[in-house]
Amino acid sequence: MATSVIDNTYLNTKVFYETDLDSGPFNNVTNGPATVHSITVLNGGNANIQYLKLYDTDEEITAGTTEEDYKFRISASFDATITFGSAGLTLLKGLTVRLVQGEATSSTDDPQANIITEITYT
Amino acid sequence: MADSLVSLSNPRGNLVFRETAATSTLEQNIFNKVGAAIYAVKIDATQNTSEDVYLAIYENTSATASGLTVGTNHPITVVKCRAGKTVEVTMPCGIQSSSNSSYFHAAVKTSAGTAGNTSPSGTVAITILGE
Repeated sequence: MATSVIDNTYLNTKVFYETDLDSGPFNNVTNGPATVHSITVLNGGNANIQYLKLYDTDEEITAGTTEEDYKFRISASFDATITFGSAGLTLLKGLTVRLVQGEATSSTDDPQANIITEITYT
Repeated sequence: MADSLVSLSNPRGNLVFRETAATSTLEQNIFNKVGAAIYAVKIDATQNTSEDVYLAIYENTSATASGLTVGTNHPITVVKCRAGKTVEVTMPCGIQSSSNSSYFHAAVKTSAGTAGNTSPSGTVAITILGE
């Protein structure tokens, strides 16, 4: 697991890059309110469906208990890009993100392979 | 309440499902086919200013969503729209059906994730692009 963040005063756009997104939540990766523009999940090398779960919160969530604000099925053996239109996706508190095998709220099963995920935001 | 299903000439995403007043009652078999894919979602809650709403998309093997209960079964996709706002999500790689024998169904409710089956207090329109 390796996390990279581009977040400085020289660029408007910020990037969150994680080489192994899994069930363990990354809490408030945007460090507060943000507009998310795109999310890319590289699941092409993994033959199983994943579920990307997003939460608009700056507080710690409980994986397997907290109901998600956004959930996207990531098809097996597919890379996926999700974009949020010209206005982006407004988050009032902050972005918390996790990736699991199951659609159920209770799922805490990590993906079978390391899944790279990129998130751009402002 | 009025819904419609339009065929477009575009080879990707040639089906557009629209419901001008979506509620927690399931919109069954939104693309009128098995094995569909979803490429974009739009929620217009500008006429629903009292509470945030959540579009929940479900999948099961019944065209009439038999055995599927909003608030109990887990959606495969959830998209939040804040009160009085709109949101657009595009997914060019698509959300694919898990099998060629399953149908997509949709509902709009006021609770995040799986829980809840309360309809919005105002009018919420949804547009779902797929094929």
